[in-house]
Amino acid sequence: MVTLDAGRLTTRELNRRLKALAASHSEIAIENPQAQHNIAVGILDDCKIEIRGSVGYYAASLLDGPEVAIGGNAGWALGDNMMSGKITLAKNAGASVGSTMRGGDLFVGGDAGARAGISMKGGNLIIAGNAGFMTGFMMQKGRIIVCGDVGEAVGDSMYEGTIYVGGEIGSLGADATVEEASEEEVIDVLGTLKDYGVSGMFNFTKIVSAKKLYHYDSLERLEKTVI
Amino acid sequence: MVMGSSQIWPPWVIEDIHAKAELGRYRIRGFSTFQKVTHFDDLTFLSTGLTRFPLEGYKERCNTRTVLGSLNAAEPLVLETPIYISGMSYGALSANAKTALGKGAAMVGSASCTGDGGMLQSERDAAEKLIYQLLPSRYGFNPHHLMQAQAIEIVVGQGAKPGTGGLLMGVKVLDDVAEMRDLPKGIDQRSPARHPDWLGPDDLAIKIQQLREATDWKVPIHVKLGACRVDDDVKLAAKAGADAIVVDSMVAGTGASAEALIEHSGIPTVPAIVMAREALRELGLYGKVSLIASGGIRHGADAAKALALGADAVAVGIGALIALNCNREIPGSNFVEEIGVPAGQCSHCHTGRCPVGITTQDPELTKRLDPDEGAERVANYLNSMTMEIALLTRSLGKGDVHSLEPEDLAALTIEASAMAKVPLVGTKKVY
Amino acid sequence: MCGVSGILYKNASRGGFAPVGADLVRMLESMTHRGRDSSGVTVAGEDLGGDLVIRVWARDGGEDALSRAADAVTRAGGTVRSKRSEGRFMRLVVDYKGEPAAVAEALTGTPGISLHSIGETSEVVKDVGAPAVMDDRHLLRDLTGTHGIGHVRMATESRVDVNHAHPFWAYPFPDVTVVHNGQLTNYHKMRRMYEDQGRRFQTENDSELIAVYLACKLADGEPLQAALEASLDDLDGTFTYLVSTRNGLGYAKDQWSAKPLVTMETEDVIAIASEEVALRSVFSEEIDRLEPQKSEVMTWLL
Repeated sequence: MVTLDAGRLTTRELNRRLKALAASHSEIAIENPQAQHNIAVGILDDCKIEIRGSVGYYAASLLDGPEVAIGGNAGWALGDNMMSGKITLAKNAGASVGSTMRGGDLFVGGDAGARAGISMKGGNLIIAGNAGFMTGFMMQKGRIIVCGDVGEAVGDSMYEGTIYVGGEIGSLGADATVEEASEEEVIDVLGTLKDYGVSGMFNFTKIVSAKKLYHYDSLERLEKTVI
Repeated sequence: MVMGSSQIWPPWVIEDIHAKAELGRYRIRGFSTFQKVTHFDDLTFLSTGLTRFPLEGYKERCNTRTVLGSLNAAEPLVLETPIYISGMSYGALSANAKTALGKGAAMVGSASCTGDGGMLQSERDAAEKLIYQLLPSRYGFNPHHLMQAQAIEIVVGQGAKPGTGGLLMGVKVLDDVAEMRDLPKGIDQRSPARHPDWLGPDDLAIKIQQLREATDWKVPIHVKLGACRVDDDVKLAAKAGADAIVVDSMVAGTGASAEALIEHSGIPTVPAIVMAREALRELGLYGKVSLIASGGIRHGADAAKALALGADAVAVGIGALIALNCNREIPGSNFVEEIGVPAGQCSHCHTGRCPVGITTQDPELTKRLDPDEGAERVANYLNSMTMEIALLTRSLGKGDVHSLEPEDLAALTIEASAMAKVPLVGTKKVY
Repeated sequence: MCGVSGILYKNASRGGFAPVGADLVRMLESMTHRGRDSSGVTVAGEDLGGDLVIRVWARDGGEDALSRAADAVTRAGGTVRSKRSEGRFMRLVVDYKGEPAAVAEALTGTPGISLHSIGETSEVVKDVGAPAVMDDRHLLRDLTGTHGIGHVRMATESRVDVNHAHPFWAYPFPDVTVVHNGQLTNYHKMRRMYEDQGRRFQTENDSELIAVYLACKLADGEPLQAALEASLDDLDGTFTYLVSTRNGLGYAKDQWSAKPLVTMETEDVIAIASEEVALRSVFSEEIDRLEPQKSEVMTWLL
């Protein structure tokens, strides 16, 4: 295990060293992150990173492969556009957690802010606590599991993908609808939660796209003739 | 006054209401605005006479090399001409068109740009220099692609439809396109208007830092704005840390947009450049942050005038598509039969039925565009434009296209004088 | 757009010496990526040794204008106890038992003078440039009290100068000041409505509207909490704003959840800021923080 002190390095130097260490698939610990932004960005090699404390915006973003464990809170857009890998956050996440993520697992031990899983394109976003306003906004693919409550407009304008909510739902967003979850699905969701040490009695509500916004209702006369 | 020739209710306004009365929604089309607005035609160059000597138009050296985004980037974007191909997506365009644009740009030492749909491998392979766009949708966005780009362009707005997201009708969201965008096949795709992870210039500053960290501070970060509140927007983009700012005007093109936006939002290219230049000057960043103009650049004279007004480079979209035979009858095409209007009047990119294989995903139609032949045409077009810029530059006694300045221009109309901040011809007055 | 911060020492009595000025500078300094065009703070719960503290800035005329300002206070019936100027800035501590609005009126009528704040326990200090620069110039670190708010600005649709810096004072209400992150999109329309009612605007900054808005609500006798709640419907566009009053702090966050805010609370302190990095600049230990979301309002009163 190599330890880096974020308090003594510029963000640029910290990321440069992280990338170099990741290339040799090391285990790395980062001390003293102090909620700074852009810690562990753009790492495309498998490695293990443990961040001992809270991070700012865009922590563990643009990743493909690494396993990142964060001991504190995170600011906006944790795990932004992750391709694959695993991120676990011990406490609360800010807005837009898992924005546009395309693969991998992102686990939030506490609550998530607004727009969790916005424009998500794959992977699993798991939130042990509550999630905020517009969870899964414009979601395209993948799975969001919220053990607690979600705020208003959940699943607004979602294309595909699935949102499971264990608690109360503030309101459904435009074109989101509730669908019965199959037994297999629920077993699968509970299995995923178990992987992250979350257990309990959940009665999940499954939210999917109603697909009513998929198409404009009408075509022009000319469009009808040529399309 | 002639009965039946109303200025308020001309035939096309009447037709528009009839169409909407059937349709029940806003109308959608491609191409660009049909409005008459102040444009480069309203400006003219004041070439040399006795006060300065001209350079030989076809022979003497005239530098066209253009360096963009050197403020923070270790490897700025170096182009052999101040013209590059603006962002048009694979999806809006066929793969053959994208490849032709990338290859054509490479043939003249210039760049092309991905657009809203991810990086197409054949364009990446063909293009020597490729600008990778980061849009609100993040369709196909991939950090591996990010690291293969020669510049990154954060799209805040598009001139043809500022303040809103992209549009791609279901007829074009076919197998590859749907897969690259992670969308259900055949849906009418309406891209987000806002970015998912940052919502203001303050957050944008942190986003720009993220992209720099990911790319090791190597490549420039551009910010593209739909030209509206240019003064404020350019200042904010610069304060957020942009290395280059693209102002895309209301004259700029689109593959599909609501007509209400194409015709009724944004400002023309001429005042957009001048406002952007002055905004950068106010911050002391003119000449440090690169300024790129786009919207209605048709030929070298337009480009030269844009440079004179203060742009470091221009980007062309529709012009490059026309070079690929847009709105031209070619062997095998039949515009009237296939698209319902004659060549020269087509603005139906959104239908995906492009008779010349550019704005389509139909396998049969795309065959009508040979990427190698198309690349030649694009390269010829860019070359001719570059020669025209150099020609005008030399006629002004200058050996570098970046020596062009507003004082080289006069305005042919009072409006152009007011917008370009250059004197009206025959007067010394700036209106 | 901007960074905002606020701090409140729950157990500090008025005249206590909590390091509010120093805290706010540290918090703002950690967020200069969010803007460095101008900075400003309100420090409240100060021990003044007088009835009112007044902050003015001379737009033009320099010392002449500043002495005219002091004269105006005297003419309005105040007794200047102390007067300190720093360049074109001046701080006056005044003995005065009448309506503060009369002093405000006298000062805004003084040529060349911009009135930044009148407070019974608080003052606004704002200047162009980053917080550290401002601290060096105005010694914010020496300002102690019970609570306060701060701001770093990345100017959006109005110009960069001292007057357009935040906080904005809710003329003519002593001690009510506002810092805002966002852009109000019905500003011009609402401003014209207020101007038609005789309300005064001193700048072209949309954020000033919030101060005027709250002043009007408070003048109608509405409690602060209710005024903040009403603003969620009345203001269009994006906003997270903080308000500081004589005895407390509050925030309001728009329906879009567009502008960030995090809050934390310990036994002694409430701290709020656009980003956690600002909270960490004053509390280096790991903390639990909350992230308010949409259409939320909160007030903390001492």
